[in-house]
Amino acid sequence: MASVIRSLGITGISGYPLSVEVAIIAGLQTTTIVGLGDSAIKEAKDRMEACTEEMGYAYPTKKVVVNLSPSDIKKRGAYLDLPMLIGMLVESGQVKPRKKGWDEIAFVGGISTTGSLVGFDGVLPMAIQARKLGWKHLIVPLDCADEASLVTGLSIIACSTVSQVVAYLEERLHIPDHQRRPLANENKGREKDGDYSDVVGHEEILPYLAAAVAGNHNLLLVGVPGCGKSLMAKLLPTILPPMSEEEILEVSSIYSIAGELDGHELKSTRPFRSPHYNMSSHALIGGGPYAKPGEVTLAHRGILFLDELPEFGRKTLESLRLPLEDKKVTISRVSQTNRYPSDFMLVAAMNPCPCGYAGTSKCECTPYTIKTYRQRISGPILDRIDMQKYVGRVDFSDGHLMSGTISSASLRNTVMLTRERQRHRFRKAGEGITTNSEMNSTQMRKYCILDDECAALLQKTYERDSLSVRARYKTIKLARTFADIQASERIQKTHLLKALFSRDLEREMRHA
Amino acid sequence: MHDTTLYWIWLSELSGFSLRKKRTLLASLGDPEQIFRASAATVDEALHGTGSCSSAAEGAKGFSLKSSWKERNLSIAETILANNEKSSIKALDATSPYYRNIFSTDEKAPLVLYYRGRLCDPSIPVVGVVGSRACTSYGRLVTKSAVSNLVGEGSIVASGLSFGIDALAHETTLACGGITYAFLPCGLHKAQPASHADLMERIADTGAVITPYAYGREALRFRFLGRNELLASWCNTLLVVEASIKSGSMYTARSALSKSKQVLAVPNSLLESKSSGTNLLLAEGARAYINDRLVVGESTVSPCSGEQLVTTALASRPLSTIELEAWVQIGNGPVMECLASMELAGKVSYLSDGKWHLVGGL
Repeated sequence: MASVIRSLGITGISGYPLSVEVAIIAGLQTTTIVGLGDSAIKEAKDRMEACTEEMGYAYPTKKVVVNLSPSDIKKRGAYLDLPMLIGMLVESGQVKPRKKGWDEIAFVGGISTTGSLVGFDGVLPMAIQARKLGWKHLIVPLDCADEASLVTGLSIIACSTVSQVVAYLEERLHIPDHQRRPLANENKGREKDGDYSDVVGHEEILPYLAAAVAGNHNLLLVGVPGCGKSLMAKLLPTILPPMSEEEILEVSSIYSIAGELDGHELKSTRPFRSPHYNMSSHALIGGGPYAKPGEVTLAHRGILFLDELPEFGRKTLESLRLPLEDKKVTISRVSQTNRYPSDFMLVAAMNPCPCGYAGTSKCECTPYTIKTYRQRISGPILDRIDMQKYVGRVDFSDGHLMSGTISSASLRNTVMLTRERQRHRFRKAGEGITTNSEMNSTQMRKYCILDDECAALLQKTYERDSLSVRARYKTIKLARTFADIQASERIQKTHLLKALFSRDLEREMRHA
Repeated sequence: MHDTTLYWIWLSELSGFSLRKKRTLLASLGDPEQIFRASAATVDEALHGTGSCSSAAEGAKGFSLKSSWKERNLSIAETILANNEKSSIKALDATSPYYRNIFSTDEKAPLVLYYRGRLCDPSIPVVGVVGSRACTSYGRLVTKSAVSNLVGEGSIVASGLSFGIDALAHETTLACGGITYAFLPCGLHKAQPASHADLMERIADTGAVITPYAYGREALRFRFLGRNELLASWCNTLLVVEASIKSGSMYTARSALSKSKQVLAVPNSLLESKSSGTNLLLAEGARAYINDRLVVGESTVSPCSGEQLVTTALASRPLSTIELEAWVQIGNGPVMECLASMELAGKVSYLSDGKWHLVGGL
């Protein structure tokens, strides 16, 4: 009877259970690996032979058949080397594993011809899946043990060589559960990022930033070069609310698969991705031969900051349309199709015109060039950005404005309280959402009731600015956030006014 | 009627003859049809008197009157007429009552004009309103106010359909229910700029879109000058709202001055580069445009009205919301409400410098 070894594979950002079945049958000395493996998996047979020799075991002289089940999912990478090798050694009777608890041990890891174990990317989602399946032990290479042990409630057995694994299986060696190093203090990073009290002369716009973060609304800052747009955007992480346990694991899994989990620590702060405008649409959305996650996925539960928005390629920008709406992307490649989450807050910055200085006497652009420049941000993209704010030049004439009056701490406080109000409201009603920007039209009818005066004002603006229905909805959701900031049960006129004053770019286009 | 128009277009499009020569021919031979039927010798004589040496001089320039006269035909004129008919473009020749006076007083005026829409009685005064494409909020404010006054006085507002002051002048006229003429630097097969196609249609509904260029002629650089000349000779008064020294509006203004039209220039700060041209015009003898209604402040403001306070505050210079709140001192809510209703009414506008600007509705 064939030996079955438990292991795990990865699809998208989650792991799935996989069993490695090894049979040794009559025939010429060959090794066949079936179950849609890529070349790295096919080459494993040579590594297995060399490694067996190195450890002093004998490679079977009959036909070895390895099946990776479920055999209709494509598999990729070298992390199945270890389960295949152990399966062969057990099947050929050279290793006699412990009787007790054998069913509860899973294996992942690559091997080298010297008999040592090799780490790989993506162990975290596998460990999460193993815990979900109720498995007790996961044997992993020492290289990625820190990352795997981020998952609590699962014993991680870290080994550096195949011999250790075998000794552990035969109960000749006791290996304690791997203990990861303690997490660094998450607030430590925050302080070195800076503080909004360093921002001078933008007291008008900072409350809008806090509102955007509080309601998870997309944001575009428009202003002359050097007015502080990028500075304000880069300080946004200092006012982001912390992630929940579940979100931390989700985001860490993404970073694990992308191989970007620094220092094998959980990603405990919200991601802030700031790609260069030279990037391709594949880098943004995801892709490559193995349908890897792109920036929109790496910014999941955090911020995607696109500085100099009009400089991004048209194709790159337009590809944002779907992830902005659906909060997920599906990447299809020949080898596989992956669905990745992409629930991010878009923050962008741009100049008002090609020379950058529109609105000042320095500007030399013609109305036509300004128009073509702004047209680089297409209507559908602009429509999806809830808040477009002009950032004025800082006026130093008052002299006393040498330091800002609004600190990150006070803004963060506003954000946290507002988020809590939203979460409380939506949880009480069991809506399954946490922020205002996620509301659908049914939920809006329930929570965003406008009185007659507000409805009339909105209708007037809607007609005059020829807003889209989406922009109208986004305005109402934004008004809901401004109401939440002031802990107001109902949306009042001031809240709606602030929301209406949030689409500066479209308002000016109407006048031009 | 149609027949004579055909010959007018033929004469206007005829190459190898300057406008002055064509005018000489018209003066001596009567109407274009007679010119068309005349022999080369008659034409030569009409142009140069009886001396025969002139035709030798023509030949030296590589142009032979005799051979080119033999090849004259009406095909270009027929094409233009056919296209005109298709796009409901009408032609105005120098005998037309709408154009006769302008043609006879201005020797540089073209022989034929094309227009869409309808022209009004030539006795109604036409006021040209021109200015910078990249105008400031001050320019917008003055344009709106001046144009609504002009419409109230019963004048026709003429401008050039460009971005900025031009388009605003047309738009304001239409909004006030007035009649406006747009002068185009290209044939009437399209709008120039193309994004004002809709505005052009609305102008043609009540007023007219006029050009000296035939169907299909593109907007080349020299045609903008021709358009400016025509606008200058068509209007009785020209108001220059904002212009820098080297600009099309200045060309129009100089051209109007040379035709002894009344030119009004809007005064502005000497520091403002967009107004360097208008200030120069004032120095050169143009009249200053003064509008009492634009004067804000003094006794007219009643303190109870937020809108009045905001208007007074913004009249001196554009302000950010925070500055405005500090200035007006009526708290967060009322200023915002005030600004919202004023913005909806088109009185103020929030521009890319992050400040509120006064743009009209005084």
